[in-house]
Amino acid sequence: MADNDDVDMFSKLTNDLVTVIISYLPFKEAARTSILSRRWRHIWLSTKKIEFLESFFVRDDDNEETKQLHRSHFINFVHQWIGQYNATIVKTFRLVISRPVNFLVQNCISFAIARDVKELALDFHDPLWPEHGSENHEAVFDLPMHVYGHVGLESLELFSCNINASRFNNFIALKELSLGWIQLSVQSIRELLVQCPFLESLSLKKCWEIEYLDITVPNLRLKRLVIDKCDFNQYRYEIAAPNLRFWKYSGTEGMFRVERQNFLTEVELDFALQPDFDEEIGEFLYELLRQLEIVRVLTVCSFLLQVIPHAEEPFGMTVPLEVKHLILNAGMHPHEYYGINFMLK
Amino acid sequence: MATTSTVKLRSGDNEVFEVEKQVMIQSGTIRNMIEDDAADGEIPLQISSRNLAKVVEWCKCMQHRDRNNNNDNKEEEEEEEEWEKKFDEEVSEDKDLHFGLLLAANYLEIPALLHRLCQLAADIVKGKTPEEIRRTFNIKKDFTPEEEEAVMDEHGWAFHD
Repeated sequence: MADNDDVDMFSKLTNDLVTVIISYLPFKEAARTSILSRRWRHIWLSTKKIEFLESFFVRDDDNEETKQLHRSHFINFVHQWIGQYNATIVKTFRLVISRPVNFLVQNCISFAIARDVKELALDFHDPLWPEHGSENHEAVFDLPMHVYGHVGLESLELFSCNINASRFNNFIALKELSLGWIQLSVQSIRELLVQCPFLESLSLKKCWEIEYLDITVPNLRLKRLVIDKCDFNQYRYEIAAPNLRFWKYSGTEGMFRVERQNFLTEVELDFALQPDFDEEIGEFLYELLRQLEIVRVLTVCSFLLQVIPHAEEPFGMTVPLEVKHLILNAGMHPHEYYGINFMLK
Repeated sequence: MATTSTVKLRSGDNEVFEVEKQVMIQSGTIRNMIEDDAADGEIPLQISSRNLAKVVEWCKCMQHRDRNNNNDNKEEEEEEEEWEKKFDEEVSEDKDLHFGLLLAANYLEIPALLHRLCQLAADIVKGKTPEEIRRTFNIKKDFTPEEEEAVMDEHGWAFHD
């Protein structure tokens, strides 16, 4: 076949098809396609993946006054953009703003819900809050009521935005839930899991004042679980999710009970947040590794490498792990030596 | 309903593919023809045999996967992932195939294939400068310098990091 060396590959595609392609691009990159040629100038304005990030306009290192000015430019931009939008369906809608104003948020949510949004993300956390810090930040916003009525939602991500877990009963189609920077109770988590029976992915990041971790609701479909730098009152973590494939835990160590994991193939453990170093911890971590015997891909941190030889079995697991890929995030610390030996045995 | 369990597809370059109906009902266009009893003879398609063969292969693989979805067989799961990865690579490296399949999937109304191909096209665009995108897909820049400046002004936020 002759090489179509100088034919524009997109010339045979309708604008609708080009829109489908653009809708797989991050919003900012979609906007950049406007410069390609006359044909492309306005196509991106129908993208089905809409992401408004204040970082488009506001820089972290500006002073508060400048930020406020740029933030108002950002808000104008958002209003203008959704005002011109003429497609009837939106797949993804994301709003990231650290000082949310009520009318903006309400406007955005009405816009997205009217277009049957499937993936909604609202991120109101301040990028200046330190991820490794220990202080807990009150959420700056409450999830507006009319979101709870939107039955078609498949993915929901909320940062620094309070939720009412008992109102999640409409989210029967929800597959992915990601919560961050909010106060959360063990009861709310349980309620979320019960209300959303099709949930496949749950991520909790920097959530605080959780009594303890309890992911043991019966009949869970959960395949992915991420617990990232959350603050628990008791260091007790219980997981019984029979369909779990991927589990990431970053935070303080404690008593782990990980049960009935027939499909768990990939685990990442990171205890960098652990403030103290106690020989008893080695025992807890040994117990945790023992419960991960079928995992194929395992990532462990420097802390685990330093502590694990202090368990009762200092030279290796009595029942070897089935790990095929072992990733050691070593910190080149001399105390890691025996831990590396332990893991390689 | 028609009596046979297969359907015959004739490509634009006159090659005939006989495929199980169960496989081809993933295509809305062909499903409609089968339901209307209009699929008894050969169905002529303006799709090259190379592209049609690939579409049929894809449909077979997806049907096989859907059928096996319930018995959690790890080995088969890995095999299918391997096949999909190879498909993605082959398509991404061959723009004629890629865009030919895109049009075929659109015409045959196979949404899953269409979306996969669109996603792969977006993956190629991602991270490239406008000039690189133009070069990759032979897009001709037909803006006057004034127009180009106007676009830059309008969407200035998108062009600086």
